[in-house]
Amino acid sequence: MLPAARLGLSLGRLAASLFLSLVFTTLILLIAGAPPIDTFIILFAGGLGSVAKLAQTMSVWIPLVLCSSALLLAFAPGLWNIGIEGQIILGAIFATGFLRPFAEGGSPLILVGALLAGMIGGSLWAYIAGVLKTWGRVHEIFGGLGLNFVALGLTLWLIFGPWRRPGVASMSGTEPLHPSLWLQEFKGLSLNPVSLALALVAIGLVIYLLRSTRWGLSLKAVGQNPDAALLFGLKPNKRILESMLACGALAGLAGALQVVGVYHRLLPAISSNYGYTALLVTMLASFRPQLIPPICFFFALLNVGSIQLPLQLKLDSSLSGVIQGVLVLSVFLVHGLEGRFRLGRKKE
Amino acid sequence: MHVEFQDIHKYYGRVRANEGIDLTLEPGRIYGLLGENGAGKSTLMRMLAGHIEPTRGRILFDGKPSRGFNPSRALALGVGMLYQDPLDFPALKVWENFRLGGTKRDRRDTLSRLQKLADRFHFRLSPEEKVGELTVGERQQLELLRLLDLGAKVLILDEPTTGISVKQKEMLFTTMRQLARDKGRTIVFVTHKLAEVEELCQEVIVLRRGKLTAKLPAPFRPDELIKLMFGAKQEEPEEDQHRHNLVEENFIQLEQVQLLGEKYTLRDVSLGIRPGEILGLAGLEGNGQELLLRGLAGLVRVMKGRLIFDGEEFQGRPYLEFRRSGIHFLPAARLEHGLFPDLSLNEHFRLAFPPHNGGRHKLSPEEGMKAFSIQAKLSTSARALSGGNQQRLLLALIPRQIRLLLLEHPTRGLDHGSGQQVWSHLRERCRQSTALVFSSADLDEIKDNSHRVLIFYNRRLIADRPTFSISVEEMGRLMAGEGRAV
Amino acid sequence: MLPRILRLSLVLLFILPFGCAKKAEEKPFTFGLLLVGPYNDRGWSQAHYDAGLYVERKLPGVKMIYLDKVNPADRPGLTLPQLVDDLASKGVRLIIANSDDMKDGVREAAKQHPEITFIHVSGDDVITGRAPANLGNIMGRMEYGKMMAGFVAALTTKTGKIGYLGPLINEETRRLAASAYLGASYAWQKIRKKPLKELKFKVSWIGFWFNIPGVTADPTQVANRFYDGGFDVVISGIDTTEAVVVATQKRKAGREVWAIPYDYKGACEGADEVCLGVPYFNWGPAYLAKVKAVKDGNWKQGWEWNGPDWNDINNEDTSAVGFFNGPAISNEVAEELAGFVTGLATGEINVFQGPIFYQDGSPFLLAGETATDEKIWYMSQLLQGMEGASSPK
Repeated sequence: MLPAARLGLSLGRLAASLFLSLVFTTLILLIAGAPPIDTFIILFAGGLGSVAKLAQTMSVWIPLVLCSSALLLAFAPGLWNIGIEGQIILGAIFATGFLRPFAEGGSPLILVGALLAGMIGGSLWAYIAGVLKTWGRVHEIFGGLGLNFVALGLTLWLIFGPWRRPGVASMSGTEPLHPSLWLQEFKGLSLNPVSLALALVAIGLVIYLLRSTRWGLSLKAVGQNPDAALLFGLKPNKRILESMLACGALAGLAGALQVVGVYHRLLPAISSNYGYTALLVTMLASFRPQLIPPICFFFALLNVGSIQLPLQLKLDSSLSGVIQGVLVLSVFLVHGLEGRFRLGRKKE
Repeated sequence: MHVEFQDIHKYYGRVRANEGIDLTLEPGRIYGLLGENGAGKSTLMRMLAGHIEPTRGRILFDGKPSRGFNPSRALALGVGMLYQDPLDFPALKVWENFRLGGTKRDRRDTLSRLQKLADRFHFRLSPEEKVGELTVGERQQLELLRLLDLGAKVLILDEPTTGISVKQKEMLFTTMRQLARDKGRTIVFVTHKLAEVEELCQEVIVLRRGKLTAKLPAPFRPDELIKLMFGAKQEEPEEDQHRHNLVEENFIQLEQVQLLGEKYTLRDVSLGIRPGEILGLAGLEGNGQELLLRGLAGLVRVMKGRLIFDGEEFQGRPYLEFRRSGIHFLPAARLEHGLFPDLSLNEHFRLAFPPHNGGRHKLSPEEGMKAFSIQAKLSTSARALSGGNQQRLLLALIPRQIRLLLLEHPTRGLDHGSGQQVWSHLRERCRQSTALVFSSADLDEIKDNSHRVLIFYNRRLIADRPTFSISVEEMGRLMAGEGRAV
Repeated sequence: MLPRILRLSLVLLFILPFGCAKKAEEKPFTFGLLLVGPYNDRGWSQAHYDAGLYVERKLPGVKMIYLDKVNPADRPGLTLPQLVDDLASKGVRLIIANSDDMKDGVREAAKQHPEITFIHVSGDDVITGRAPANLGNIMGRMEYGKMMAGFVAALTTKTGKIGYLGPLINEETRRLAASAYLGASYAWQKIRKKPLKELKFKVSWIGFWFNIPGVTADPTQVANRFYDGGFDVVISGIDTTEAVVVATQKRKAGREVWAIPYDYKGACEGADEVCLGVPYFNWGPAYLAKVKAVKDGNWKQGWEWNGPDWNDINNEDTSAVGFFNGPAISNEVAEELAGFVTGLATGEINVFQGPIFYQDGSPFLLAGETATDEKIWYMSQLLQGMEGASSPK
């Protein structure tokens, strides 16, 4: 099939899924007794209504795009890197650790070091999952889940233990960074240009790597058929470790940016479950890079706009979670129906 | 059972797989269904077996039209089909799979029934093994036994002789004859091997490009059949005399090598291979040929003994070193183990020929496609290729400078013409002093193409003979454990 | 998912009428409420939410908008200043934030929005001087509630062993555990006339406000260990109800044990055999005062620590903290408790009176000294006589 036709198919699938989830959501809203059209308008206006709102939406879009790009790299050789949550967390931990000696503030150049430290932290965590898979034969889903727990435990231990604020041990996180070590935001907006630029570079880089380099191609080959990849001399295990390292670096970067750009400290929930959300995004995009930015934007929009539901309609804001869930289920349903529909024809 | 096809058409989009086929099958007869790859044999038989529905036309069973098409209804009517790639359940054990679809039996009954049937054909199946661990040949054997057990009245066999021995084949043919003569079964035997049709069938049906070109009673004239299958008379490839100087020394030497496979161990193999030499491996599946090929490729561990390549000991080295030294292996399951199903042909070329290796491709993808007459676009995915094109693609992806080429069933599933093409390419390579080791279930292929024959029995190498000194019949006897090995 | 949908529809059923009624009026005074947990958590956050409804009832024309689950886990990527921006755009003039976690965010937002008044519950920015002029603090004197809990526990226990199921360790949780201990030791010595060394009071911290599997100690297990180790009364300091649940199970197994939950008036429901009572917060009066002050333009910055109304500690209109007697409390103990409350009210009884020593033997209060608010607020260790860790390791 031609690439354009395949993209068309993905888009069609996405459109069908969106339509299906719209129908389901409307039903839910009607059952709940809420005005569906008003609800959708408020939801979208909540994420798009003003420059400030748009900036908020973009500040959620950034880590989602970073993590989804990272997952594309891991998925190319067929890895379900569910451990991305832990990799985000380790990125945040490494960045925070790097900045701890600079409690009195310092030059913005230090931030470059913090971001690099975050990437190293994420890579390290991903590498462990990779070695567990290639050497220990532990499936990356189980290895990743285990490492996620360890990472969460590590943050909690640091926050309640060695890195606790003087005299307290509470979930509010570590002592905030010195304001000179915060990424400078656009004036009056909760969005900083550095993060935005990094996210754009990341998705561009991933598209380039997967499309145009032999390395990206060999990752895909390993994902398609590890046996054949071995025969072709493509070193499947080495490719798997490389893709995990790259994926972990991007996830770690996302974690570091959450620390220096958003929360300005380490929190127990620093990953904000963006890793899991990004898994949904990539599945929804059928692993097509060009669909990642718009879908991330949609998810960020739901995320930010849903604040308006309790504020304006007194609706439970978990509705946005319901929409996300319904959307993902719709995608699987559309996919499954398509398969069912085609089965007869494919036989020959 | 009396089966009648009436004006059967099957279209896939613009592709006409079957067109206007009228055909009657009588009970108690054995039909050969001939045609080259893509002639529409499988489509026609799948409609009979209820897997697909005709675009137009109908099929009558004992005069009654079939209502609805699905395999279980077809099976209830008494149509059973043995597929080239058997539809079985890898996670089940052999005996569990055997029991599927049949009457309710407990384990003991099933085992004894299975044993009885297997003994009749001298099949070696261990009932407790997982189906997923069987070879393709063994899986076909199992499925055949199951269909016989279900008592199908119309039995369709899609290339059933692939992967079984001469002796098993004879047993199978005898059974087919019995089933047709004594029990009035209708048997359709799908193949592209003329010799088997001549040997077994009472009538032959020839398809070409989706249309029925002939339905002839025995005796058959092979040249006529070939003409019916391929249109014009096929040009026989000029006979290569393998006449080349085998004066050179062995460049590969195996000394009492023991290979550890996943399922068994092959012990005590000693042999030498000279440049340009062609070795054919004969044996029932699962008796050591697979292991030897993989051992030579560096994919299976050498437990004991020495594997010497150009004077250096290679046992224990990683696969990549074997590969770098010019050893290349092509597995039998092309799509499962040899190719990347969803990558395009162009991407396969990019992967096989890294730009840094010598700075440029010796062959551009376009040239490769042409040289190997692969009938597809560069953007086509490997999955969409026919079996013949897949094999030609794999051949096109072999690096130019190769010392040893290891092939597993190089022409399995290919029609006559494609098989000839593959061999003329392989012989060309050997003239440039590449050594070649291949396994095949088709003893004629071994007899026709190799310089030496290695025969495996009971998981040992029992004979290593120059081809001219051994007949196909003798090969068959040795493979079956009869006669004395030399 | 289903419970959420149910909750959603319930909220609509109950809340929508309010929303509609208010629409008719012109420019209602609006205040915002930021809740750390779900508004219906039957604990800390619900107490605040109920207070907001109380204000709406008492001051017609005043409207509350609230946002619950304000924490990074439930609202990924949104920071407190961003949420405050949202509330500000709805025209709120007062924002109440109900969690210690929000301390830094509230301070930052208050600086950005000088036109809005902020109340940070449980914070101390006003004392430390870090608060901008539009930020105030309030807190309830739960110490009294905990003293009563300790008092009841000590009079009820038959083994002389009281367990305290503690959350994480900080100044607030230390002073609450210590208050319970002081209430207990008063009852033990003055009412039961027994030597203090025969009372065992042990604190086990689980590490968080509620159970996080794999991260915190499991409160169910901790409670079980207490009861199995001969502790027959467990006082809960955490947000969830494990202590009461485990006690009920033990009762069914024939053991004579009791428990005292925390935070929410209704926490004794369904635990008639074991629940001795519950100390709870009643934020309504404080909220009402703040809303009135801001509305009338006479709000002043302050750090307020509101105590019970000693005339009736369970008066919903006046008392900031209260203690509901549970169904399992005996009549005698209830009578003694009434006397204890009267004593506290008149000032005859003050359990924070020296000499009291910290766990390491250093003096907390010298002989004859009574504790100031600040001394109690910033208690740095548990007290001598209590078992358990004083600070995070």
